[in-house]
Amino acid sequence: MQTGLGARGQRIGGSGSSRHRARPFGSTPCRGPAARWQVRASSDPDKEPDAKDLRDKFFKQSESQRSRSQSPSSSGGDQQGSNILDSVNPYQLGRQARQAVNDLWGQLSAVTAPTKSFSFDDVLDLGLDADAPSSATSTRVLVVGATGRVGRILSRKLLLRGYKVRALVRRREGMREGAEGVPDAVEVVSGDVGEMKDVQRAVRGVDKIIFVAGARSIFTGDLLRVDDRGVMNVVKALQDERNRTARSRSAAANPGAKKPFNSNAKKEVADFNKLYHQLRWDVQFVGSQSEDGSMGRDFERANLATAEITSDNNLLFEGALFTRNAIAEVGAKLNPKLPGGEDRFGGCEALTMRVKGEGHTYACVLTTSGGGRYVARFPSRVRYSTVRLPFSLFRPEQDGQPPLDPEQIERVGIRYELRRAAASGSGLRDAAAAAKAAADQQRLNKFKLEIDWIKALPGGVEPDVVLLSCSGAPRPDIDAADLQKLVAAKRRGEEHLRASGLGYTIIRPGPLVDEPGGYKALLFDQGDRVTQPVSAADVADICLRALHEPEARNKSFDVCYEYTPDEGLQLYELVASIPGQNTNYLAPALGPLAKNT
Amino acid sequence: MLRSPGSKPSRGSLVCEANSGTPVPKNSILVVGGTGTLGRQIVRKALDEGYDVRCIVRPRQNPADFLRDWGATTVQADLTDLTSLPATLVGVSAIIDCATARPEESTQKVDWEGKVALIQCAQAMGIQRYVFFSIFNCDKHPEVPLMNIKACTEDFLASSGLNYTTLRLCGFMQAVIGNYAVPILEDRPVWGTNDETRTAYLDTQDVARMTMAALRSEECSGRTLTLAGPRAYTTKEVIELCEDMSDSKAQINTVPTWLLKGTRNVLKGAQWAKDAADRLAFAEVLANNETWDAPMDQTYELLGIEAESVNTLEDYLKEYFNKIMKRLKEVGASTDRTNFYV
Repeated sequence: MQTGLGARGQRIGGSGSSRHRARPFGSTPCRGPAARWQVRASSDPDKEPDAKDLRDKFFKQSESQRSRSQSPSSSGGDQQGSNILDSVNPYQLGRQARQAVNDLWGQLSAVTAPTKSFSFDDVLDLGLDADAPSSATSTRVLVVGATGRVGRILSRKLLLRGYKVRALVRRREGMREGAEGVPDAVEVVSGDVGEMKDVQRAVRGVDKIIFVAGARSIFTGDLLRVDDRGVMNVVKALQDERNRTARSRSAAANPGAKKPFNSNAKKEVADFNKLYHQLRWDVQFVGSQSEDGSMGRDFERANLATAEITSDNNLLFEGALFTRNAIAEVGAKLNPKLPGGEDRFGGCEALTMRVKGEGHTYACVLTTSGGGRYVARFPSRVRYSTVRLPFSLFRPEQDGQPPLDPEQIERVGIRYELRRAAASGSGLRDAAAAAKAAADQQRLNKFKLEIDWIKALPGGVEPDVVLLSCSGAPRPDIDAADLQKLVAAKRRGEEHLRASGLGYTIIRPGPLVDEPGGYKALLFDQGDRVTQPVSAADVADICLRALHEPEARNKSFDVCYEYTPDEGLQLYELVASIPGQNTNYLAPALGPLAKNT
Repeated sequence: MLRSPGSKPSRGSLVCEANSGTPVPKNSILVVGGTGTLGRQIVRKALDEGYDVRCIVRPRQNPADFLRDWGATTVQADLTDLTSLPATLVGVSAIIDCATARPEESTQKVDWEGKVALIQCAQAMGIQRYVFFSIFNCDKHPEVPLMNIKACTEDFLASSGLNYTTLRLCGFMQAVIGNYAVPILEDRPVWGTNDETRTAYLDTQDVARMTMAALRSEECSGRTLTLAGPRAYTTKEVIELCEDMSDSKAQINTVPTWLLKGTRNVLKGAQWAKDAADRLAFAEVLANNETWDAPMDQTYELLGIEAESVNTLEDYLKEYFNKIMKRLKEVGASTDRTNFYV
């Protein structure tokens, strides 16, 4: 008897705790099947139902009883006694009888109710998440410009699909926290997109960014701050954020043990803390480039360049060039495989390096196994800074070569090229100008670059940043000259994003109208030919879908309502598509469009 | 949206604006009953299509936060408190009315007095569009109080001069879950009736889709449309379907319609039980063994919806059971009925 009761007491306690655990339906409070099964599951199915089990089944246990049976101090005998007392207690019996009648009445009226009222708790919310990716709930999206026409709709759409949404909202006088038009569920970071500090705060912990902000006026300052520098800030902040999380993640993954392959981590190209790279890197060439681009060796001239390892374990590339078109190059041949056995540049899309210089422009030179040389130039700074060079920025040195294929890279190098100091003013007649030019030339002759490391940035599948730009189509609310100014600013913003190496999607809609979305056929095109308007809701939908669409990565495209093209223009291939709620129209529409645009 | 530097509205244009009344954004709608089964789907759908959605919620300690979390704005008002209504209509271009009395509330007060006041308000404030939800064949059953009220409201709305659309509904699939699927999963008895009434259930999401299409379409104004699902089922068929999908047997408590009618007649005799008797009035409809279904071809065409895109009860239940099984597995719940996982 004693043991049986003990077991029973345990069971009740267990069911109480499992009731807390068994909330499988997210935030919706549930009194559905799961909780009940847990109760039943913890009891032994083969055991004969005893009196208490039967009582449980037919009568609801009162709160006082439950708490008493749950308290571990109450002895078995005590419990048994109170159970018997309770079952003959007329007050309890009355309550139970009334409850039974109520239940019966409830069922009777439910059966006959034409507008059946039932508790929503019982129904799984099969909402719009049918077309949302399963990763939505773990994705935090920063919406820049959440109070705008597209941003307002977009943040709601994201919320409906379960994304965590953060908004960067400008501080404005007299506006309460949690700005107007932004739902409560959106995490608001107040700040200005033109301020790097604010942007950095907003980007903390964010997975993806949708930039739908636009300047409020066409003042040059406003355009510069939002459409141009705003995009640049957002891009930089996201890169830094990616860097930071990658570093903390690799530190958390058991230090000391062999690091597991992480596709998001950067791949090492050169790290001068390691003897391996210290030994391999050396000056490859010093001398003048002849007119036809081929290199003649001329060590006997006065040109000088050295590469050595500093006490801080950085590579110091230093020297002085004097002859016309002189260049100096430091570099090393690369093993195409990393020590782990994977391709060094496989799936990568950019190089990044930490360097300190003196303000001169340097060039990064990649040589492929086919012998082609590809060059991308970057300015150096007086302090250590990180330089990013997407592979799309590298141009072949000779004409007629195919674009760079990162998989074929064999050699990497950094080059300094001597250029003539720009002749200032009217010429050299002015003594002061001449002196200045001479000083400039002297400054240019010498170079000194410290390199800490070079790494390859892995590519990705989905866009990281979705940018809402604009098409050049004429708009009724703005005159032609202003529009030109606006479009120019937007294009500069696009350029920042494209050069960053992040995955991007740039959407250039026709003039926006406020109409419900999802009813008209849309037309996707490239080449700034669109003339029709498009509803803000449709644009928001495209932004949302692009977020997880591999086809949208690194593409820029125009979008507007469908129309019949003018005479003479029908030759162009136009891609039209009808958006529907549950069909993914974006992938087939974007498939034929060109990448890296 | 974009201002040129130095541009100012002229005094003339301001006067013009004032005379023609305040322009109302076309995208702003008011949903009455947005917390309900259908209402919340309409709110979601409308938000997704880019509308600015305002919802009326009752003044409560714990307001309906989920509506605001989705991005709708809420205003506190109550259909039984007539003075609270006009303020909620300011700046709204269309009303979608999917409210009805809860079981504990008075049908007369909410569904008749409240709705009449709302319609009059809408009339006075020049609301562009009014979408009203009614019940299938409500004009045929004046003996059922709620259906009588719905029929009267339909007439009142039609005569109000408002640009209205009335949508008559048959039954929601979501109700099937609450009434049959959950009890079967929990091993509780299922309550059914022995009548042969067939209902063409619709998914509330499809209703929401049709509603938004009707709101947008000019051709739907001034019309009454019946919305029905792809197929009509009897209660028995629905229970069998649920048993099939959950792979378990239901204990069915069948309530014969004569018992319901009898109970109602007894209760009708007593003045104090009038409300209770009204609630059983629907038994009269059940006893007729009607089919709650309507041809949808024309409606689909009018709304621009493809017939294949409308969810069937089988698919709906399948999805529900799949989902619930998956979630149960995720939390590691085990059950004494192991055949659940076959």
